[in-house]
Amino acid sequence: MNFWKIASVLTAVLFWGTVALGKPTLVVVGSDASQAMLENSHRLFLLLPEDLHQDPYFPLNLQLQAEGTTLLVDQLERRRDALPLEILLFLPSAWKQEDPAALLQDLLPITLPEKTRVQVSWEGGLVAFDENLPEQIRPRQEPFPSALRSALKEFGSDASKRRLVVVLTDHFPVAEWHDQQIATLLAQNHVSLHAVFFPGVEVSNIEGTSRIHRIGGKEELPAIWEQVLAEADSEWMLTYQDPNWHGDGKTLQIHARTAEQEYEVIWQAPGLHYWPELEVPVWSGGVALAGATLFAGLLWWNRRPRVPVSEGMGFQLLSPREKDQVVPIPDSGGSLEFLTKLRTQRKLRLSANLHRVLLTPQDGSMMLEDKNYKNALLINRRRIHRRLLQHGDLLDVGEMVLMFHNPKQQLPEAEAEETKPSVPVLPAVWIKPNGPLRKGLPSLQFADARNDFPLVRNITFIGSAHTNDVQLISSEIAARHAKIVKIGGQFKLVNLAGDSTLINGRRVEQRFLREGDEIMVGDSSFRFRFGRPSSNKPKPSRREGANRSHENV
Amino acid sequence: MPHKGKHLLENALLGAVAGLVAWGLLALSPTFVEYFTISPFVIHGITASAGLGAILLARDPLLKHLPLNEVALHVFRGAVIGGVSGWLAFRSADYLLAYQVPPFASRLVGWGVLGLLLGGASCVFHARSHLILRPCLGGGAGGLAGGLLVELVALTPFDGTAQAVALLAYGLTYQLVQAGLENLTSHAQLRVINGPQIGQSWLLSSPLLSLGYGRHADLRLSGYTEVCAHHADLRIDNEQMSLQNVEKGGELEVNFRKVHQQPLKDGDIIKAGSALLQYCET
Repeated sequence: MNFWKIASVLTAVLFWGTVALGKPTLVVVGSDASQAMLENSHRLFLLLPEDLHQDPYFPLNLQLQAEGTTLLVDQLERRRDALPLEILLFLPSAWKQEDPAALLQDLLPITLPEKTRVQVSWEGGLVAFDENLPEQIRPRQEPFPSALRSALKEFGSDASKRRLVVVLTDHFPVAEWHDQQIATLLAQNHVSLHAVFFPGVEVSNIEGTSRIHRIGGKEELPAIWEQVLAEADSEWMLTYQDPNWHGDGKTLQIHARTAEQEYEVIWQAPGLHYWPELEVPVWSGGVALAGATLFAGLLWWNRRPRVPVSEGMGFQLLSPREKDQVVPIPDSGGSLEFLTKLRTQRKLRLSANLHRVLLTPQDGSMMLEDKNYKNALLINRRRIHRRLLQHGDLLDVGEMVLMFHNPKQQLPEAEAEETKPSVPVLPAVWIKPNGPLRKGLPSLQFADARNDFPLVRNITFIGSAHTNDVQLISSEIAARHAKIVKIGGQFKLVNLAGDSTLINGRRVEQRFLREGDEIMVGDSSFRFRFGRPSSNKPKPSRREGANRSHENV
Repeated sequence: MPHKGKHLLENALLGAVAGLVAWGLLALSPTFVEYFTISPFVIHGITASAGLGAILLARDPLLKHLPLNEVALHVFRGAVIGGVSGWLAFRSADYLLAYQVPPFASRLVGWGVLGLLLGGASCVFHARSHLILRPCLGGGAGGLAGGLLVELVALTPFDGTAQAVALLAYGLTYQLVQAGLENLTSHAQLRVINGPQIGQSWLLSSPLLSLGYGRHADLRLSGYTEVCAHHADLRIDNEQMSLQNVEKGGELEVNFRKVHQQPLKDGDIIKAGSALLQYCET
């Protein structure tokens, strides 16, 4: 902030220094653009020195320019002749009295011009002194600049009067007595501000601020009032035409000349107030924020994942640029003929012989069979004539893309977890012996398997990775979980991962195995059998194990 | 599936929501504005911009249905960035005015600069988006168009309702311009067809988009197994969208065949880990 402050002050000093050096300036009190929208007619309130308006050429000796264009001056008259005076006294709340008339006499010990209206605003509220008006008090508890701002806002904008705000005070609770917002309000409401400071005021930043009167006591008040009223009387009202009025922020240049002297002022109309006071109660902001949050939440919620709803089995239409819909499949099956009756956004080409593609219920799913072999039928983007459909299978029938949905196969995660332990984990991969087996080889016996699995190697690794000799696929079995090592004529189980390797229900790190020991690796359990492999049993094949395991998963 | 129309509509609504937030903050501002010593014009500008930024910069998490904690984080960050952008934008407008530029023009510049900064900020936090010029220019254009509307509304008595209308119009126009530009440059969308995110779809509007579960992925897949933080990239070369496996990315299949780099065509099924996606041209 400091940088900007310093930069703007420097710029202003340079600008004013070069433009207005050596020429006395005129004082612009305020402007009125309230008629601007209708008539392009504006008023400017100025303080003109004696010699200027007594010049024989007055008011022709005054020239008004805006952004290089000379503006037409309609009228120049004394404000005091045209408009009545209105004074707002802004007083500390400590001065508040029961009898306002006495206070007024005390603080305004002079005769005011006719038709003058006086209002008093306290730090704590605004009181109107008018015979016709009832006393209005609006209590306020605000720090000083804010109280003055509120008083100015209540005083309002009235171009049909000459308006003065006089602050009389013996204390200020804050050092900042005047801020930019107050300056803008003053200029917008064409009000001039005078401050009369009684002893005891400690305000630091008033140096350079015009119209500050420091007085020693009440006896000096009449002189101050004379001065204030004289200044108010010397105000002139200039009415001019400006077709290019922007509303605010306009820069005006006023030249004036007498035989001896030349005056000039460059003045920027205050404004820029893009967001004039929002005349809405504060709670409406809260309501707006709550409403916005609700709407944003709705937008967010609208983008939630949408699971296609189907009670039984069905095909979800997935062709590009088609509306999402699920076509139910009758439980009794049938041909794919019903796809031709499907309503789609655009015509999708289908094969001619769909009545030869049959769906037959089987194992809680559908067996898809293409009897024709000529249909361009792809399942998971591969040419297949016969397949038991799985949930999530993708079908291409001509231009139609369909996804098979089967709620029975689509178990929720939690349910699937619960059902897991009941499914025994069987080896997916087993070392296939390269020849006939020796008699008396020890083996692993799985409860649900048809065969025993002989230990043909000296070291047999057990785990879920395919590099193991015995692959047991389960989420609870580590990639390399345990090994069985042949030492002499004995076999030892060695734990390689975690603490879920158990023998007869006890956690072990390593132990020699005995006949009939029950081994648990993760959630798979099997028995160790020493010798006596039954030679009449067929050898377990790698393929069989794999198939069984897939069914279980 | 008129996806582009939906994109426009959603963005327009989001813009209007942003305008509403801005107005709500402005309506609350009398409670805090007087504690600042800078010009009320700039303070109000900052307040409105913070409201706009909070929603506009949280567009991605809102419209991609990311977890709510992430949405909240983006809203907060957006508000801060919006506030800073607003300060820069309206401070420069303030200065232009001091140099006798007509207020109409200087405020318009302010709105344009705000759009430009918001557009730029929206892609700075996009990890892999290499574009900054297009969102910036798009934002600038949107900001100018929105500012023009605000100025038009300001010709009427600019009371509370009119200001709400003006801010809603600004947010809406800004987002419409952004979404319209995205619609112009995008020719495809990606749709999730299985798993936890089933039914969600993304418009592929940038020449380079990343796919994965990581926080910086443009297209985020969460809740799928075997998906990497940065699984694959989608890029446009010569108007042809192609899919590319990144070096350490996981398995990638197009039409159930393993690929490393594959140009995509309408209707292709992409398999990233356990997630199935469908590529559709629009």
